[in-house]
Amino acid sequence: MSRDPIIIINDLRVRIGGKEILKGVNLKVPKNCVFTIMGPSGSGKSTLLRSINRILDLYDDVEVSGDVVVDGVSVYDPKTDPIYVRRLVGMVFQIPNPLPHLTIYENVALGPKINRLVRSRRELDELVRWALEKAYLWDEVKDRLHVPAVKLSGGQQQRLCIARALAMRPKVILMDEPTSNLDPVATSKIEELIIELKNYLTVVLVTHNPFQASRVSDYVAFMYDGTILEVGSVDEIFTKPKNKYTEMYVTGRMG
Amino acid sequence: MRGLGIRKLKSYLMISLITTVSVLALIPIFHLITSVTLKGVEVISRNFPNIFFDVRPIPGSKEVGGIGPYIVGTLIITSLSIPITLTISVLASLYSSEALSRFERSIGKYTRLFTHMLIEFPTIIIGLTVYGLLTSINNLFNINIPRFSLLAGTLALIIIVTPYVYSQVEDALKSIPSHVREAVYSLGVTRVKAAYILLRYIKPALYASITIGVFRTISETAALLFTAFGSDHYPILDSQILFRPIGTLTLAIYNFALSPYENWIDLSWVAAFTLLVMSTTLFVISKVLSRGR
Amino acid sequence: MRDGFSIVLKTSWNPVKEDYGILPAIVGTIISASIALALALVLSVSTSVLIVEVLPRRLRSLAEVLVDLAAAIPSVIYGLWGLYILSPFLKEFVMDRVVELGLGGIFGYPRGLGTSIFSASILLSIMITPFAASIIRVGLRSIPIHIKEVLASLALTKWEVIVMELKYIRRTIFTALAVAYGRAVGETAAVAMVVGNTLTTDFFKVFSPGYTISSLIADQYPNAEAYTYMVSALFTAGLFLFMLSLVINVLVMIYGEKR
Repeated sequence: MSRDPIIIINDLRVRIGGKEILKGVNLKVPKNCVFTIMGPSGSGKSTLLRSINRILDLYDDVEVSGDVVVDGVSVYDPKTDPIYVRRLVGMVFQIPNPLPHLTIYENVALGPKINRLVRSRRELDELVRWALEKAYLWDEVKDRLHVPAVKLSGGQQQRLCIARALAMRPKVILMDEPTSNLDPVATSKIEELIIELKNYLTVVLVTHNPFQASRVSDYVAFMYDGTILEVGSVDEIFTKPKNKYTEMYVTGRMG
Repeated sequence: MRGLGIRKLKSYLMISLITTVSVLALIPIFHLITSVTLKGVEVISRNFPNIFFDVRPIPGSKEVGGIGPYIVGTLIITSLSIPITLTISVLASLYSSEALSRFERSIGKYTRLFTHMLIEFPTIIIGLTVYGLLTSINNLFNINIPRFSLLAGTLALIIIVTPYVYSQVEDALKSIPSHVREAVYSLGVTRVKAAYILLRYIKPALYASITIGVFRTISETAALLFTAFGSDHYPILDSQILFRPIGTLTLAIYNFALSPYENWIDLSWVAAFTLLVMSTTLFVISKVLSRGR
Repeated sequence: MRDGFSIVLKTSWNPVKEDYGILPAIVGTIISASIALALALVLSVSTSVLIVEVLPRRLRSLAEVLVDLAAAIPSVIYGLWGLYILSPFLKEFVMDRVVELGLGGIFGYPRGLGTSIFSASILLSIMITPFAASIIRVGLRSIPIHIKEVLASLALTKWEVIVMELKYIRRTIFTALAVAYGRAVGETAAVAMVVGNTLTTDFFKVFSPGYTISSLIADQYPNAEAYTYMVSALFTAGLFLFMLSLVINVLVMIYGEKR
């Protein structure tokens, strides 16, 4: 890992409702790459992802120790505003979740507008267009920007959600199993997009699917029972894994 | 980070504002409960325990009197209407939730729609309807059923309360997991027997719905104004009881509050306190029962 | 129906002449229910948001029980409290003060205990708030966690999240308010006790005593049978109230949340 890390996680421990979900995670995520956290369900990868932008704050009974540093900002420093962190770090979820009461345009414009990232309506229009183009969606929706977002197909909705995250101009984008509810065609389109995104930001992807991890990642971390068992480049993890469990997982004997 | 400070300030101010507004909304409730309790207990202490048995004083007298007939009236009208309400509700909800044919299902659907509407109709209209219905029956058959009577009041209460109990029981039946329902029907028992088993399964919910039914019954005022009408005497337990007007706690609160006599108004507070204790008790019971689910 | 439709448009109520008009009662109903609704909108949305989104868990269930209990108090008890405590309070601290400002011409002049359309409105708003709040609370609770997560992930402040959530459940809020409006329109015992039950030519002035449809029926029924046409007049009023509720119900069915 030669490049500078944009995310550094130091001995992160998370307890939810008294149960230890993350048992001391250490991780460095380099800039401008696709970094995949792979592991079976229940291994804590979703919780790890949610601790990076403090979405965990929404849950009751959460205790966090250790720290996460994103782009030099200590996320769990009491002086750090979670809103500031969420400006740096965008997020895409498992369920394509455009806000159903908003139009396509409004879904993308919401974040930048409230966060005053633009000065004028024209700038906002341009930003929305830019984000939709980057999400490979512009051509499909440019004539119906003002119809409700729920009219789109599942794959289009998920790309809209990516555009919505991109419009905030984040440095990092977190993706929590973004294709698990999509068909194979929509999935491959999103995977193509994920690879493209690393040209201007860092993608942290969570998946339980080793094939997806091998297709899109630069680096892979294998997570099991609240700890990271192994981290390496995609080649290292898939061709010469050091850990027994990693090997079992990537060869389909576990998971 | 343009404007983040202002946005956070606004967030803080707005949340403080809704907190203040909510507290303002709760103050009247606190005040109502305390003032009814204080005033009620104060008057009760003047003639305890006879205040729960005596009749109201005659106009102009300075006695305290009591609310005996109204308590008895409320108990009579409730124990008369609740069994009928419950029977109708249970049968109707079994019919609509355990429907087997398309015809039965569509009947169930319309019953549900109708009861949802009935719940939202002003009860005074149901009182008027019962009054009008009895008038028409009297004219049609040339008989004379008294419209201001226990019979009319019970009828009105059944129409008002049944939709509430029905939707409670129906919700409970619907919430039975399908594996339980399948297990029951796979026993090869008759529909009646299956219904009986399912009812036993939702027993706590059934008790909760009775509680809610009783609560609705004892709280009703408007529909009783021109049906039960009200009476200041102890009901005489004879064959004609159904055909005479009867007093209830709610009617007593209403009539005494609007009367010109100080000591009658005092009795209104006593009746209100008594009713408040009864309805709060039922509220607590229904909360406990539904928590068990 | 001796008078036909004109009963709805007339403002007189004179049993001796068998002359009945229910316009003041209709106007009174609509004014009181509408003021109550406007207040209940603010109160019920605030308490629901406070309970679901702001309060810590322990206080949350306490506040919730209190609001539910408020919805369980029989309306006639609200009426008694409204008549002897709320109305005099409003008269002394609101109505008399406004009249002192010389606005009596617009709002009318309170009498006696202060029973008036205004008192009825305030009492109704107190009564329908817990009821609307319980529906709104269910709506707020039913917002999926992934919607809450996405709002937070877009760097929204707590208040901005709440505003978006309220927009998300706007159909539920509509349902809650429409049903609450229906309750306010049909409420009888409590309103009949605080509205004043007097027919004046100032029936559109809120500080004056007035009538609502249901309070008119409740107030006049004891002597209705002594007159030839009063029973029919009261039934017409009842029919009008019935149609008003029907319209509200149908609106809820069309535009509201499926319940």
